Amino acid sequence: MGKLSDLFSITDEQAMWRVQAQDDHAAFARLVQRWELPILRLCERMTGDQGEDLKQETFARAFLKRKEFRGGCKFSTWLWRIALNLCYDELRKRQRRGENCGGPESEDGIDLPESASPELAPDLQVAAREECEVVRCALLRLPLTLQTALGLRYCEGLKVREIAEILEIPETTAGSRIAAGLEQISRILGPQLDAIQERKEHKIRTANDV
Amino acid sequence: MNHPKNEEWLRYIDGEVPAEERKQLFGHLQTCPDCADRVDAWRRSIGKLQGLSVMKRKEAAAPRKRAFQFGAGLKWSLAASILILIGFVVGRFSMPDEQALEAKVAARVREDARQQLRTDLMVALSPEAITQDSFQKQLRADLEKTSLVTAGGASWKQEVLDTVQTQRDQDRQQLLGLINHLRDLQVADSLALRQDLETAVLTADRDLRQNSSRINQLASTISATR
Repeated sequence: MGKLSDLFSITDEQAMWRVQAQDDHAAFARLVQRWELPILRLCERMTGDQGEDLKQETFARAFLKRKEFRGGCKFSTWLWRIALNLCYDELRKRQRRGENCGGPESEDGIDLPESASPELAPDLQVAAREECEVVRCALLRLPLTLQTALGLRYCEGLKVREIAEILEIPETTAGSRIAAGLEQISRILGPQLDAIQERKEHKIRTANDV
Repeated sequence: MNHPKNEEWLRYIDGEVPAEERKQLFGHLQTCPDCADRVDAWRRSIGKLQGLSVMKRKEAAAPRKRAFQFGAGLKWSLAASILILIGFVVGRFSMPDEQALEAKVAARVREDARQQLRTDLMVALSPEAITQDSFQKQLRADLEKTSLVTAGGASWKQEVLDTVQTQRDQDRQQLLGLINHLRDLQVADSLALRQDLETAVLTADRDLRQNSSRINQLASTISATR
């Protein structure tokens, strides 16, 4: 059924052409619907609490700049670029204000909630959330070029070729950035993930004892 | 030991190496704990990074509560600006032809100005306006004042007054003539307009009669052929 509906639905580029030629709001709404979540994920991952605002700004900017979209590249490539540029702007602003990634990092890198429930399931949920925050923060500690390449590859699931196109760099450079990013983030994440794992196991043991 | 490059390991993890190369790299992993650790750490990181993308919105929303309040204003202002944008676009496309509108307005303004001018002129030239002219009274008063000062100036005063009076009478006659002429013109215009209208009505009436008779003929012809 999914395939059948795909067959009859218009492509992103066709929808964008309608938006360009006729200011077709319905076509634009369809594009927003399709790309809302991936763009939100990217913005949230890169900026945290500003994700929702940046997502909206991305689509507002895409609509304002609709005449600038050229058929030479995919709509998604163009949209990723807009979102990335907005995230870069936001990060630059934060850098000027001297803010860090804003994650819940304490001295040992993890900040446990003080009112942790003794029940197992919520604990695991908290741990999972912490883990996500730790990973996000580790990603944010990488140089921006590596962070972007790594995020697009593994968080957004894009191919190396697509990343090269979005960032307007050779495919080999994109590959090198992803490899370098993996190397660096693994060094940061390794000890932190180990610590989380240890805590998780400790909690399970305590819960079992009780 | 000759270690493969990072980019090679990346392609190995992504499953993008040919079978032969894959075999070699796998063989290297069996013998090199450093590379094996590295590949394991990378795989673990990739798993966690992929976990970020499947992180549920609900879970992600918890630390963002403050941001939502903070961003609410921005959200509404963005919505308002989009609405304004849509309004602008709709307004722009539904706007009537600018030149036609301009011409219409200009014609109306011109007509209003002409009407106003005519009314003003009529008021200024009306006999009441002339008789109530304060100029004459003022002049008379001034002259009487002067006559009190100037001894034996009675005859001179009377002469001046008579001259002024005569001049005023002549002016009044001329103005009345002008007004009458304007009125005549107006009447003539109205008559001409009425005549034109009557002609148009008559012509239209005649055409209408002709057309209806033709239709009747046509109808009778059709019914005859049937």
